[in-house]
Amino acid sequence: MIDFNRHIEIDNYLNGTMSQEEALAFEAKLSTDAALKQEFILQKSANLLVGNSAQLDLKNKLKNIHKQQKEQKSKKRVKAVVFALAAAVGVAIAAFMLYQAKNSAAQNTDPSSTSNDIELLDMPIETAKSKKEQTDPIEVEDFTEANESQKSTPETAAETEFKEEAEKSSQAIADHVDSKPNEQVKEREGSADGEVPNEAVDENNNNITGTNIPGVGTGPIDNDPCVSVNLIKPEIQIVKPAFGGEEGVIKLVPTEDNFIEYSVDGGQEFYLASDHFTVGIGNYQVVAKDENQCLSAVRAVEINYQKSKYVIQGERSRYMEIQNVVSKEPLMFEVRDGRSGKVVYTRLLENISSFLYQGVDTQSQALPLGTYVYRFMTLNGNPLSSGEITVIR
Amino acid sequence: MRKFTDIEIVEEIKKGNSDEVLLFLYQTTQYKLSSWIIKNNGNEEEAQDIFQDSVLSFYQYVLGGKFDEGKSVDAFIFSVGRNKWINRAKQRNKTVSGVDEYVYGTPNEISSEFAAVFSEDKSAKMDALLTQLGERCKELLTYSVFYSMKMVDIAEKMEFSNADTAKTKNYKCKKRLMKIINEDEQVKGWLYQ
Repeated sequence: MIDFNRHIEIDNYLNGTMSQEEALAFEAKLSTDAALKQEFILQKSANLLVGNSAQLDLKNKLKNIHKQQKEQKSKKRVKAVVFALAAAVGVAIAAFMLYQAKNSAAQNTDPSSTSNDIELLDMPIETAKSKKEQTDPIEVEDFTEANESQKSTPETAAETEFKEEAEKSSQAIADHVDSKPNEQVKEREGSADGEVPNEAVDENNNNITGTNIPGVGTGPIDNDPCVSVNLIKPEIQIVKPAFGGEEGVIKLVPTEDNFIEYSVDGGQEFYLASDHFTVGIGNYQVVAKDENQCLSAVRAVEINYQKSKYVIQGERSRYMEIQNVVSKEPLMFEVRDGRSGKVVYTRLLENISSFLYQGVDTQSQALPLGTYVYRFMTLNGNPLSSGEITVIR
Repeated sequence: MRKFTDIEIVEEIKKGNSDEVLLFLYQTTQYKLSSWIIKNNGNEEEAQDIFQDSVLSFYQYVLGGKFDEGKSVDAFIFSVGRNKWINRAKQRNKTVSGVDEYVYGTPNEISSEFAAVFSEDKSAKMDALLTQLGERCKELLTYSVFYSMKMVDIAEKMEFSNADTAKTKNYKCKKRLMKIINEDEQVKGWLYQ
């Protein structure tokens, strides 16, 4: 029983279900109890081994799936070749038979019958020709996977329909990847930007430094259930891009189950956790609320413009410049507001070798300060490349 | 082939049901990623390897509770795979053309307790130890350790009488595994960190 309990305790520590205090207490025990430490290391090793085997298993399954899919494709290929050959043979036989017919008819001197035979000759050959045309596309020439998907035989059409769609669209984008513009930021006047604030935000949602306002519990007066909650800072993730479900700037995404409502303005307005917050540059005070109306501690988040790839500072002639815009076809360049998603600028790019964007809207007015999202697309609206621009003073 | 929504994919993974999901993920996300890799100086083998690793990363992310259910699975796997290829290509001095460093908010390093990578040989040897426990134990441990499933759910899935039975069985299987590891100096050396 002791062993079982100890086993469970180690388990709880390893899977992170212990509270911080419990964990610290356990770690203290580990440093003094050698037997416990042994058990701990062994248990951890066992977990690691199981995890590794699970992944090995998944990987092998994927390898097998790939193998099977390839085999299915080559079976289709073989079917197609056989069909083509059969058709070709059929055509050859038909042609041969007609030839025979023509020869035997030629011995007949009746002119009317000869002309009839000629007609007879014409028709079947045409049918044979159209048959051949049908089979030609199926004939095996060049085997890229894209070609394969478009040639699926009718029996499997339903199955592969979904895949074909995916393949076609990805092929379209893949084709365009080659022709994506080469991007370089060019600073005309190169004064270093001393105004850049210190980086306070970790892209990968790890702990964020910043001002720390201790959580204020404004929960129920018998504060007991809220006291522990008040100590917790809500975990959020910073995701780029985001706005309104489309490409945008920055999204604060709550990642915990305990809290159901979140606020980014220090607790003035709360929204459901499922509504992700799209924000621009600034400081945010993230507070969360759980189902008992207990408030979390405040997590201060600073979003600054160092995150953006292009920084446009009109007055210092720092623009977004892209050289060697290589594209087979015209492109659309579009800029949207990072928060609202509203389009502020569009431009059609045709036959130009470099492209300069000065952070203006369609009326050539300088854009207000803030973060924007740019996108290059084909004229059909297929996205090719996107990124962020920050307009600063 | 059964089709899944993004949310269903996440649910199925958490329930330990992988076969159908893997097929679906292959059908819907493999081609885009592998074509991109091949267009960027990769060969088919490398592309498949990266694809498989990306799916594993996705699993780790989901099972670690870090996958945002609002995100697109397709986009995630593609972004992860693209990052992996960019890194690998750099190591091999291959060029990747026109790549925007900007990705859809996926972390470059997915931290997970299972992210440690063992070579194929080592993995195979370690797996052999697990196989010694028998299919049932292996399955149980996989559900409890890798998929982090609750005992009550495991009991239902594996048809144990109740959660306690599952818990006890799990304990016994784990103890046996620990003993086997302890007696294998080589494997012990690899696992001890």
